[in-house]
Amino acid sequence: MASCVANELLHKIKQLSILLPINVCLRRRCSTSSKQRDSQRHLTTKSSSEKLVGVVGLEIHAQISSNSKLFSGSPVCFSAPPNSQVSFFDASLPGTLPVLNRRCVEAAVMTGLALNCTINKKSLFDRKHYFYADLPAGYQITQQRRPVAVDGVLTYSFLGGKKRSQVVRKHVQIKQIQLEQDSGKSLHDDVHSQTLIDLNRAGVGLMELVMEPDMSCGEEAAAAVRELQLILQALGTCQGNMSEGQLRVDANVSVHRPGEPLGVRTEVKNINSIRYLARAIDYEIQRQIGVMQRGGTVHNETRAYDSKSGETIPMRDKEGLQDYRFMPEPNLPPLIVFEDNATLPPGVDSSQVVVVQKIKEGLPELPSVKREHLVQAYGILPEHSFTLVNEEGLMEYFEEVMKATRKEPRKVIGWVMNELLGQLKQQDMSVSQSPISPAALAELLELQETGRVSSSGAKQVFQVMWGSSGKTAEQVIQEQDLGLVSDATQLHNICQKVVDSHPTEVHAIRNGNAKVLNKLMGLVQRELRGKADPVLVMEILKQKTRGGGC
Amino acid sequence: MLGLTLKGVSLALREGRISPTELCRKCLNRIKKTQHLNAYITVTEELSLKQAEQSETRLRQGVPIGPLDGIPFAVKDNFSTRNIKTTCGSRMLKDYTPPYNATVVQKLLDQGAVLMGKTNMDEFAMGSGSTDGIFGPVRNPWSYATSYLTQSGASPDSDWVISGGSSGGSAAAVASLTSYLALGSDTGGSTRNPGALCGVVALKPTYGLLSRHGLIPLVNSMDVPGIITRSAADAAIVLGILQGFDVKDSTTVPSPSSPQELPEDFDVRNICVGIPKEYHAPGLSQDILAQWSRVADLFESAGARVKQVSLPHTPYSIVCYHVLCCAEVASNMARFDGLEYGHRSEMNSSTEVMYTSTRHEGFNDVVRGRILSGNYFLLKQNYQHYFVKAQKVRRLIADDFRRVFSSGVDVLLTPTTLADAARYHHFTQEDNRTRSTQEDVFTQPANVAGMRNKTFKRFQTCGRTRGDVHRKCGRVQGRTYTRQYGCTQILNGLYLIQHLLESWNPPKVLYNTISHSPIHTPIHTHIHTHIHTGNTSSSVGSQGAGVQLLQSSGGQAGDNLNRSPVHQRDTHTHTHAHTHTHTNLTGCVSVRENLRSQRKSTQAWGEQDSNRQPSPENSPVQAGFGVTFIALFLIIF
Repeated sequence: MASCVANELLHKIKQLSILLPINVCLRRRCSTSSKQRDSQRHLTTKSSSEKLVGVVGLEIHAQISSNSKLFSGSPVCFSAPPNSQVSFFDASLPGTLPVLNRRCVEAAVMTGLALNCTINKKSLFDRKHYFYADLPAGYQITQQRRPVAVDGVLTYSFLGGKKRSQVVRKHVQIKQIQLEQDSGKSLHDDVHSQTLIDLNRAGVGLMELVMEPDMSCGEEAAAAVRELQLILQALGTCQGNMSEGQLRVDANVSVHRPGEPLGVRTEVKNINSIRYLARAIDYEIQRQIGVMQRGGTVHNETRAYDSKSGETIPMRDKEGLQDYRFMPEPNLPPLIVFEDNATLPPGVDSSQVVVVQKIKEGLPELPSVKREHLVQAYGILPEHSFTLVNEEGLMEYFEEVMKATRKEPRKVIGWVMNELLGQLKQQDMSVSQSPISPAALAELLELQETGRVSSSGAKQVFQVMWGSSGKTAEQVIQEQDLGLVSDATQLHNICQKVVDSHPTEVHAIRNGNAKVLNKLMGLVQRELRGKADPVLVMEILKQKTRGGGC
Repeated sequence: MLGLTLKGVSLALREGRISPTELCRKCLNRIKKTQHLNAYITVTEELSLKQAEQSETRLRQGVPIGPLDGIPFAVKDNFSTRNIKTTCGSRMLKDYTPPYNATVVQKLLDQGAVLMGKTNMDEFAMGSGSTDGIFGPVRNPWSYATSYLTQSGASPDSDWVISGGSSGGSAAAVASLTSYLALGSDTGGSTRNPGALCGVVALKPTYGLLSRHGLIPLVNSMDVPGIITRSAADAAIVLGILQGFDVKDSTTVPSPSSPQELPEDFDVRNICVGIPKEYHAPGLSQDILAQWSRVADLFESAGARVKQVSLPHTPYSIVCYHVLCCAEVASNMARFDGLEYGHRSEMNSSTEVMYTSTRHEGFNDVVRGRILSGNYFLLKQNYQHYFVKAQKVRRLIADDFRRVFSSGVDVLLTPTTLADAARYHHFTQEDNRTRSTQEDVFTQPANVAGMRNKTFKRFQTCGRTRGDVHRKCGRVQGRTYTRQYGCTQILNGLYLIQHLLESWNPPKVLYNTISHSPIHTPIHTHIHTHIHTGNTSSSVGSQGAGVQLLQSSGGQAGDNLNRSPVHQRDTHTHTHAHTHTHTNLTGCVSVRENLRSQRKSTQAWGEQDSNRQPSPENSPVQAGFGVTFIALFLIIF
């Protein structure tokens, strides 16, 4: 049995007549032929009764939030001067060796746990080879054979239904989470025909998350990524900023008829925001459907999303299909994590190893739990809790306001959702950029609650405050004379005027049509630009329209 | 003075019989006189003298750092040395100056040892003759020994013999008395082979015992820094200093508390010597075979139990080695693209063109050939057929050793090479690959078997003698000395191993290979010794999880505290206690003599090389010093 293997190897080697010819000239391209393209299926358009639908899978690279790189001691710092964060190892000086950063392992394990993954107690590192200027070693250390975490699931929701107010819940399978090195950055200067390399990013720890093709459109993918982003941020394992490249999403998109095998997929790259992710995917699905309906074929290719035109365009194919020539990384022993302290071998200090149980105990509250918590604590609607958690900083804003006001949560949420969020969206601002602080909004709501300002008045105050930040609600009310008018004499006079000038309406009221009172009320409010105390006005109007009175 | 052992010269320094500066000057002069050997690529004269002066101050004040303070040493040119060119014998790194020291180099410097220079080698350590580097071949010092010349009637300029390789420069440096100690590297026999052919002790420690940080890799999973000295006792001292866990190399293990000096009492009657029948390989020369049997007889007559054993997968080892070697070479060489450091081609019409021509110009045929094969083995469609199969064979070879060592055998006795050192013109008739296949046949199984994750670690000592029959007439003293030492080393080496095993608790696998080659007589014996603790097969399973590796970042960033040991070796690693000693014996008689008398050798190595004739065309290449090229901000084109 044993010699069998050995003999086979020997046989194979003998077959290799070309082994080590003299004077071989090494060419670095090791690309395979275009054989893989043969696998493309030639789909012809079928009866239009069966609709083509999109299938979307994601590959996400999340930069691990750590002080130093995955295998070296260089600091990790966004926007540092070029090549200022490069150790000898990062520059691949010969003789340097990788030393694994424990923090990165802990981050990956923590993320795995939050995504319901199975944590592999033993995982392995591999080398993935390709030549590129910003990959100094000529290979990337990754986890191809046995990643640190596998078989997870991400539950995400989005607002669906006709009014976009219904929370739709979905699941996507997480195939694996693997640790790997980031590459450096290349800056191509076409004018001077040169390429500049910045190795600051080279060797930064990444978690690659592979999501199964369980999604069907841009909206779902966007919602899944948003949920993931929230989870990573809650865990502190990744800052999740897509525009800074901390979270990079590539989408694998294909179309097929339900029940049939998956179609040929394309990979869409260069997506730097969640909004663009949804647009890129939807564009790509439509493009592929169009190709199919015209009787064409979809090619297995990499496409880049152009945010200006909103289209995906084929990327220059670097070197055809790559053969990455994977190989075990010989300089790193298997990565072992322990279930709990009881499973530690004798003599091993638990502070020196990664213990899953310890990380599990330290998991922070995840977004889904936060949402439930909000619904229960404030009695708000699930869709409101969804928006509160998903809009960055909004939940914190809401809770700040709640602390400083006696107003009912349901009313506060109305203000936060409509006034605040409305304004923010309109001006494309984030919650943290809001000119009105939670305390200022709370003050305004308090004034409304105590009758200092009417509800419509309060909205006016809000608008003024938005435009002239720094002013308190009280200041605005005084300056703009927006306070509730509750001076009885003044109100009496105005009411009398209205009653006198609208005999028909008064007549109707006296005949029992109480609804007409509202019209008179409106007229009074118009006189006072909405500042009249509605309770008082109503009382006065009722008095004045009572039959025979006055 | 130059012919003393490290131990001897250390004593002389302390007693003030010579000062470090004088010693350094003597070595520098000798380097100049032996330039024709081409042992050195770079001689660090200025720095050497500076270090020697510092050492002198310490010694004068009576506060030497340790036994190596003031002692000249040489380093193979594939160990990174700060601000000193490190070429790997390749055009690719001809002007490369590393900004850091390899851990083993740093450890020697920290001990006050004085660096003489960087030694010649085969390009990127790929070879077994030290004939395939850009700085030209290394000549075996014994080519110039009077006795050899008279006996063979050879002309030293045309009939010189090779030094062996790839650490030929290091072995030649120690043999030609220009350094008391030299670092080599051993991937498939690269330290033991030249040690054998140049008649010096060459120790290939267990994988993981010495840090590889700073050693420019050939095959990461087999590379081991090697120690070349003039006696096993010296090798033990150096091993004691160099071994141990290094945060910068995740494959290192904590050092066992080993003795720095070899004890005097060792009872050879307690050991069982195994003679692997598969090492009776085709092509084994009569001389070597005779010597092999002779040493086996010696052991037997000294009271050791000698028995034939079988390592059935030995014939497959060389093929397995080649597949794994090429695959790792292809991967390791990928970094040499001319961007960050090293040679960069003038052809720059595109990045791809620059890569291709840089690598074509920078590597020789041997390196390019191995890269090509390695990439072929790693292709997706081939991976299972070559790489994976070779891995399986590797496991089988390791199992062979384990089986033998758990059957009561303590030591394996094997030859190091098939034959004695070849003449250069003869050696170069065949290509590098053919020669490597022949030369590594006895040495690489130890590397193959010793990978981490295999069930044992080696602490291997390999030795061998280059003999020169004719020396005996003129150099009786030298010869006696060598013989005595040769024997003592083996036995003491065994004792060392034994001691290591005892101190390594619970039983762990240790291998040691000491190569000793006395100078005269064509005795080419190579002893493979192995000692295990007695708790054999049961120790595999009983040990449970292995040794924890501690890590820390070593960088300045704030994660340092967080960064620590996440690596755990798998269960079987380090669990099996084995020692494996490769040794080359010469003076058999003295084995017994030494056993009885335990006498110390006080014999100085005579100036037996004084008759060498320097030949002008062999002066070492003194390539111009380049500027360090660690581009952090790179502009291509």
